[in-house]
Amino acid sequence: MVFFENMGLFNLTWEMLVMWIVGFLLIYFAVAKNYEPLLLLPIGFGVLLANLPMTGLMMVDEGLIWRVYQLGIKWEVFPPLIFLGLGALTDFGPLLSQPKLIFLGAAAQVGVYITFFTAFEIGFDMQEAATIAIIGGADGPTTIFLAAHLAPHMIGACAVAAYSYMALVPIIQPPIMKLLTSETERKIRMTKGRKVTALEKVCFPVVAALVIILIVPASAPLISMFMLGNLFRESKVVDRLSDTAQNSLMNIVTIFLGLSVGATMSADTFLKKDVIFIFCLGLFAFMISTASGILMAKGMNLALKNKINPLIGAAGVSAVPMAARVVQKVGAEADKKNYLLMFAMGPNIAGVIGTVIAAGIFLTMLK
Amino acid sequence: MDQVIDIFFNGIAGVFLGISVLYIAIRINAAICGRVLNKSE
Repeated sequence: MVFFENMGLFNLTWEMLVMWIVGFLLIYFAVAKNYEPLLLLPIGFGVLLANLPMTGLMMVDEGLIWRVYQLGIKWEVFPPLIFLGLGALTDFGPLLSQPKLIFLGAAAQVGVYITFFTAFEIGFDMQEAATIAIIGGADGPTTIFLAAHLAPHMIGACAVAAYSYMALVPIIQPPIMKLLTSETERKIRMTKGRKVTALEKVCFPVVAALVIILIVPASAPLISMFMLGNLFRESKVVDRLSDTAQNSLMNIVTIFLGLSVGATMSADTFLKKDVIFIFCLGLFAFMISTASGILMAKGMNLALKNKINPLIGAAGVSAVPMAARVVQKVGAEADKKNYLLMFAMGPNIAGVIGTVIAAGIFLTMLK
Repeated sequence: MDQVIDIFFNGIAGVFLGISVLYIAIRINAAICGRVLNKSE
């Protein structure tokens, strides 16, 4: 009789079944629609596991996935390791050749702070509001990193919102881009940047790490790993390390990051009306960030001799390289021979740095 | 509420400060690297 009483089947609740649907949906979007499959697939499976009764997988001190979650997310190991891989994958060349575009990455963070204010007004506490707001930066690991510090109960919802909106960049951004720019502005052709030397690329990660960490020390876990990964890449003397960081290590970490984030989404923490607000505010943050990047580009054009195409301001919201691709696509609709992709990569990478700085400032002021 | 307004303005200012200093660092880095390469040539 004890065996039957402890069967999962007899301990299922309707809330768990609802979460199964959420899990299946995430797996469906990953497999059938190819929406951020590297993260949404393990997250979706994690959701299923978290909502199977009697497994003990997330039992404190004992559960297998709880241990992975504790080590990887609570102790801040996974997001910095993902940043190590991202750094090894990133070419700072487009940013270094036109450094003025870095300000577009800063402007896009305005959306983060407007959302922070809005979320607080709606009724979230400051820690929760900051966690929701950072979704506007469209950077998954940074969102998870900040949530783990400020509002661990929101990790699952915020991570899913961030990765979902990153996948939906081609749908969310173009209407805002077209609304805020004229046909003539979309046709502006960018002037080619200067040539960046290999020496400059090697020195940059070291200089950037020192400068950013000195200004916002709380950003150190992410920025240090990001720049170390880039130093691996650009130094060209540790190809094995660079290769490991951007492939094997990042893949391993991605599996466990996704699985443990998904496993935090149990029915009792996810099925709340707050989650609807998280998704709505996350979308709001993302839209405002896109708009503020574009408006910053338009503002810069008032002072610049060589005008910049304001569309590239939309790439200031991290989401590398999807946002840059969307800029290229929308620009090409106005002028088929206008190649904006490489120019958009500059603000795109600056957006990653800007989001990490914004997260560091939240941590400094709220922890 | 005061703290929220404080974070709002300090946050935006902080991001722009960080990015501005990074911009200056990029320009200095480019200038120094350019000089080093010119000398070595």
